[in-house]
Amino acid sequence: MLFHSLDFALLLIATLIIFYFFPPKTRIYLLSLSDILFYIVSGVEYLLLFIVVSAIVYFCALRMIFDSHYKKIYLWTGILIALSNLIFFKYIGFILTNINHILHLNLFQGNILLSHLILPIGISFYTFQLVAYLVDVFKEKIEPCRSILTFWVFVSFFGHLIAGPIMRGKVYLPQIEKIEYKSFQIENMKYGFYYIVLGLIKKTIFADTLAPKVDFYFSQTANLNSLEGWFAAYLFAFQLYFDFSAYSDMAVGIGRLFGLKLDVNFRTPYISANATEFWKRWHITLSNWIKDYVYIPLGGSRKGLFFQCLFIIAAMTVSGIWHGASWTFVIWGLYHGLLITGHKIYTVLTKNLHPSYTKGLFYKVFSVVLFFQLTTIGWVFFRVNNINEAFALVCRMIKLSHLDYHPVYLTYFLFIALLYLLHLAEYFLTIHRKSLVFFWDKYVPEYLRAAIYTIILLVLILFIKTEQNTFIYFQF
Amino acid sequence: MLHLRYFKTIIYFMIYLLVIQLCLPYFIPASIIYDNRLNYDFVKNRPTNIDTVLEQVKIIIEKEHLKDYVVILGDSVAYSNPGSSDKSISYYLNEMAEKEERSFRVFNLAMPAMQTGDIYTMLLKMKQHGISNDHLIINIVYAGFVKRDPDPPAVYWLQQQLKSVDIDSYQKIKSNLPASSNNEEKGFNVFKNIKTSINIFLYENISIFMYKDLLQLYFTEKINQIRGKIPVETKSVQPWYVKDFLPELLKQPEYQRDYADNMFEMDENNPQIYFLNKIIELQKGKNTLIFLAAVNDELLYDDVNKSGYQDNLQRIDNYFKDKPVDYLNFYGKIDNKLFSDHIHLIPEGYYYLSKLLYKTINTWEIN
Repeated sequence: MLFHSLDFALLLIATLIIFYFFPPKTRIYLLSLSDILFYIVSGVEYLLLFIVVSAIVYFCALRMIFDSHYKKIYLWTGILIALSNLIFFKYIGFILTNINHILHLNLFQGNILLSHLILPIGISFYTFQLVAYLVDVFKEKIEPCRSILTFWVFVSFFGHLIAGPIMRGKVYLPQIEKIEYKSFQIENMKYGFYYIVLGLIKKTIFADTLAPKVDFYFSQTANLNSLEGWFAAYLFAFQLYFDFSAYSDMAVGIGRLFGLKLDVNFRTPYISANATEFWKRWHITLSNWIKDYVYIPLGGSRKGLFFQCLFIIAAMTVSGIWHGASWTFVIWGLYHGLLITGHKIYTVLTKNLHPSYTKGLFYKVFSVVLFFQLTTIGWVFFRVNNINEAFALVCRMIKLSHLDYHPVYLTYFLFIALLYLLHLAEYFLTIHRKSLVFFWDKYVPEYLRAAIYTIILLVLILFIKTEQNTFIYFQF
Repeated sequence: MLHLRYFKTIIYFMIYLLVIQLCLPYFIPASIIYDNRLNYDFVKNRPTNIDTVLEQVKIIIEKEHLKDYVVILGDSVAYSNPGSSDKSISYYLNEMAEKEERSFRVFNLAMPAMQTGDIYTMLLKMKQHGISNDHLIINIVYAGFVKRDPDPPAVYWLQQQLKSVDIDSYQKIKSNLPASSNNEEKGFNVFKNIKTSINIFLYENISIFMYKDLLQLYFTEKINQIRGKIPVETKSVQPWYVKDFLPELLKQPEYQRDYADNMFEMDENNPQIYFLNKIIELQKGKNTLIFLAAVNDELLYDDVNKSGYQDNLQRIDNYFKDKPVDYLNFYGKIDNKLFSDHIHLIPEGYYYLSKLLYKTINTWEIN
């Protein structure tokens, strides 16, 4: 069910009305049922699988405190079951293809089951959320949940199930446990609708408008010259950002309507000056998960710079693999690992330099512009399925060997500049949100506010397409 | 105080929406939606848009204070494919009327692939929108009488609309409709039905939804104009004899089906007859011209010269013999040189067809 579809709007409105008008004690049952209805659209069998995996993790976590001698066994049982579920549906084809290729075998070639395997929606996200929960319980950072319904809502809340944010037990479980005490608050409604509308604007007006153009260019990567390659990559960079951040914004907004505070997943990442900063702004909950459950357990920064760099590369490669069963995603992850590592080394080497130049505006702007180009190059691997085509395109982009300049390209790149200005405008809105809200509440008269709301609604209705584009991150 | 502000904002918001609901249809340039014929792309992508077309035609009628007008319904022949709208039979008929200083207008609400069931539904929709069916021209084709197996459905475009305007007729021909259009599905589909009903309500009643596709088309055109994109010029329509592929193409089963010589069922078991009877019943006491479109009998020589085919033509003629409508059979009446394929005409052909039609409507009492 897409967030910008009529189905979802009906489900959301019905759930909200019942949530606030029925006895609060029924809320946990209501949300559990809504989550089931939301997920059942993808198939009863996938719902059952999801329930079974969640139940196993729930019971493993409980057994960790009731049966502490076997704590590690329960931890690894839960993790293995959750990860096996993910690996089977997402990676088995990729693994077998590569084994067959390397060892010249024909394992499971033409197997009907494997060839018809469909990735259950949200599997990558809920798996990571379950693993995080198990590890946090094991490390005694949180108490295991004692109510299976509460746990079910924690894992499956329809606001974040399909594409995150990946929520942690410490912050999120207490909110769900107190769901019956949440009262209707205008502030939550305002906040919620603001984020939902922001998400809808990003998705329907920007992401879906860019999508056919991106598809057009990437359907013929071999024919793109250097400038067209850059243009296509920039377009995809913005399409991906608008699409994914739209979903995340709507998830935050939907959660807020129910009084739940979900983590923000994006903070205008394209103003990052380096890779370290980028991963504090892009898909924040995933990067935190990778840091806490892969990078730090590997050793983090405790074993010196060399191993730190190695662990960063390994962790980011895992992040790449998480995104998809393809070598292009592995390379994308590795690439970002190298960028972060490169930045770490650069920081160490320039530590003793006079700091004033690094604080200058020119340096900052230069860093942001440069890093944006590096990010854009990485997105080529994210988008192009074929690894050879991806490398060929990136080479043409870097070498600028096939320019074939045409005056129309000026218009194209002005358009990209415009998209970037929009990104800066979003950054401005975010950092000045409180004062803008104050100004809005105090000085903008009601008739003008209503006019702006009307225009926004009309524009959204005009832009929502009949054949709706799914969200890009749903495929993960 | 804060709650009062929110309340006032909501009230203003509702007022603005109401104003848009009432006024939007009057601010839409009618030429986008109707320009000598309806905008086919607008309707084919979402058949509920037919209500928007009818609403706009009604606005044109009101603006021009038209008392009498002729409406054309039918398929791609009446629509005058493959030419542009200024080479359509409605354009030519309007020209002829203007030349003779007749004050009536001709509105072309035909659409490619429109079946008799769609035509019947359109008449009921026109009534809903206050558009008169006092003077009507309908084109039918031989293929419409051929047994449907079950394709093509007797109601191709407006199945949901027929369901809402005449449930009995819909039930009668339901078995002929494709399963995907039938949303009375079993089991866990109450939610789907609710969703479909809401969709239909929105797109048939709320102005911004009704005009959404049109506004998208309009703004896209404007943006393309700003970008200097010139619309693809309609190529001149070529006559059939320069198209080498046509003879082979017409041997394909889907085309051969249209000229089958199996005996026609001329009772209401044939959805064509069922809907023609319903149309004729609706048109009692009104001016109605039904014409059987000509075919290119040189291109279809083998098919049309079968005795079965000729017998069927006779059956159609016999059907209309005692019906209270003006009936014209154009078989053999249009020079084969005027065809662009087996059934459609070049602009000169549509001009000639218009002259034939005008002879009849000129005898009608239209102000």
